[in-house]
Amino acid sequence: MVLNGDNAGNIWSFSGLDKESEDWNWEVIDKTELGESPKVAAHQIVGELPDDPFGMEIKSTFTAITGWFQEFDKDIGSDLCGSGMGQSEENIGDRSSLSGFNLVWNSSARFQQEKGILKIDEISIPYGSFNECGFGNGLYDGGDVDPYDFCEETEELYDFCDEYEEVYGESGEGGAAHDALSFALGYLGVKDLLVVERVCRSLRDTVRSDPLLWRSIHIDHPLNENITDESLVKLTDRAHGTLQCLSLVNCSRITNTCLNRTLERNPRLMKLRVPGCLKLSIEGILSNLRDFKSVGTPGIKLLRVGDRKGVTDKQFEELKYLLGADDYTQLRSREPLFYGWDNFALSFDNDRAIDIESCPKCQKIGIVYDCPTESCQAKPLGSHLCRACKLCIERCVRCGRCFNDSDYEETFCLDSICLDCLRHLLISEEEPGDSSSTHTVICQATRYEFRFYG
Amino acid sequence: MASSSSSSSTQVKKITLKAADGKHFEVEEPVAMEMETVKSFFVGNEDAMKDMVVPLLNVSSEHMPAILDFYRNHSEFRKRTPPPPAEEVKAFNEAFLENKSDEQLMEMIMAANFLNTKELLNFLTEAAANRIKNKSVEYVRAFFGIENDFTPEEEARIRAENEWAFDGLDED
Repeated sequence: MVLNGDNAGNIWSFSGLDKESEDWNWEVIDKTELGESPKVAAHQIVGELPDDPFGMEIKSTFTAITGWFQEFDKDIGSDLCGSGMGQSEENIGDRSSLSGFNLVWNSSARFQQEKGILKIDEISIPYGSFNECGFGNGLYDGGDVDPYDFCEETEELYDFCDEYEEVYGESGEGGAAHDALSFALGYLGVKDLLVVERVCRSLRDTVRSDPLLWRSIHIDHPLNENITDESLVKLTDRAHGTLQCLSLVNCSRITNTCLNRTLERNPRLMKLRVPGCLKLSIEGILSNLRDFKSVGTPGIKLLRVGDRKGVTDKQFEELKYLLGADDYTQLRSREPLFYGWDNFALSFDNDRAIDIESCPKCQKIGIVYDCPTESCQAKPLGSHLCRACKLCIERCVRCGRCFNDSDYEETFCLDSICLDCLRHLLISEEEPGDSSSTHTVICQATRYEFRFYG
Repeated sequence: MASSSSSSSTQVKKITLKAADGKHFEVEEPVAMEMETVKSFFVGNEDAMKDMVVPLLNVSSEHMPAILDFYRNHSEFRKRTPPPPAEEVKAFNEAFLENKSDEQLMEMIMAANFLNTKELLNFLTEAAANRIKNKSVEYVRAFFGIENDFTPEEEARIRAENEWAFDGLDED
């Protein structure tokens, strides 16, 4: 296990690991280690709590958990999870404190396992005790925490929340199903979370009170047609100010006012994606970004605005400046981007700061596509004969190739498609099952995009 | 794989695990060490490895073979150079899930959580998430065997709040 940081959590972890093989006494650790840590108040409150409320002989673990909780959130009220998670959010940017969090938890689990070993041959170990031990171990070591990848931490904190409920008997009914489900929540999108919220009370409370589930909000078909300013603000507020990634694809009802409010309430937002949001003008986005940056936030780092008509050079330059991406080489040393159904709304996977740029042919600002054909890629660097916006070079709507030396068909939606792709689609349409439905989806997507961009 | 009550086996490279219902499983040491919970039994206590039967009270013997199979294959995938093609890993994972009922999946998630193996837990929870994606509320309730404990008023309110979002769900 990699141990980093030097907060109280780590002190505990070390104490747990070091003492593991000894017949240790928690009181000793309590006095020596806690006394040295700055959280003396926590120790006092611990003394007032019952030692072993469930008769499970887990005094040491209990002390570790509660002691840590006192430190984390001194007001353990009825809303244990909610307030606890709220507090944790404030620390989320702090890598070391999160590591500490994981390690404390790991160590508390270790204590319990140690007890388990000692007693294996003497008495039967309560089922629940082992259950907790498993929960407590957490999903990974603190040392692994990647400051930019918070999804995993979502799960970790999740377990924690659940574990807490279990230890203190708050969740009541449901048991394993709820626990298993709560692990899975991190993989669900907005729409599915809203469904899970309606399943039962405990899941509703879990979904609503956990900001980590709402840290990255992605609205796409079919939610985008109905989402309004009001609904979006309600959704983003669930992140309690920790929203980092907001992706609104073709959300034609969202206005600049709403974007402004969202940015105001979520100072940590770093990724913004608004292709096809017709009410969000480029000037409105610009002024929002200006305001956002002026209040001292880290600012948006990745912006996706999609193909828009009438973006001026001046606006483009300012956008790049606001994103901190006015370094020309940074924009050039990026992965190639191919035209196609999947790329109408460029995702964040591509590492460029902004999706639009100046077309080498017509000099207008828009999304500039590369060509996937080998003959075009083989051309000497710098000539970029086959790099342009979709208006300058016509490309296959499926594979993104140009039609310089090949035939193509025009689809019903007035998209062009190369013969290879057409053949492929026709074959897959003849096959029963999944592939044909994929094709239908693609066609729908085409029509859909066409409506907005064509 | 299941060897009945062979706790006396003292082979160097094998570790005996005891499932919830008392069945014993002999497992190669590297495979057993994939499970953090098992590993932590032996950290700083290597001598114990010879005779120790590790009790895994949250893992039923029903799931044990499949779980061990997962560890074996995935640790083999990791070791292989060059790395196996994504299709091969995917094919194994799909086959792994193919005959698992929803209930079995839930139990295995709890087992994986207890065994504290990130890889298996992530894999299973993602599978569970995929099974409830784009489904109706009733489906999710049935999937997890959860009872609806909302009062009609609460249910109406929550439905009204999220009404904008509920179009186009599969009715199954």
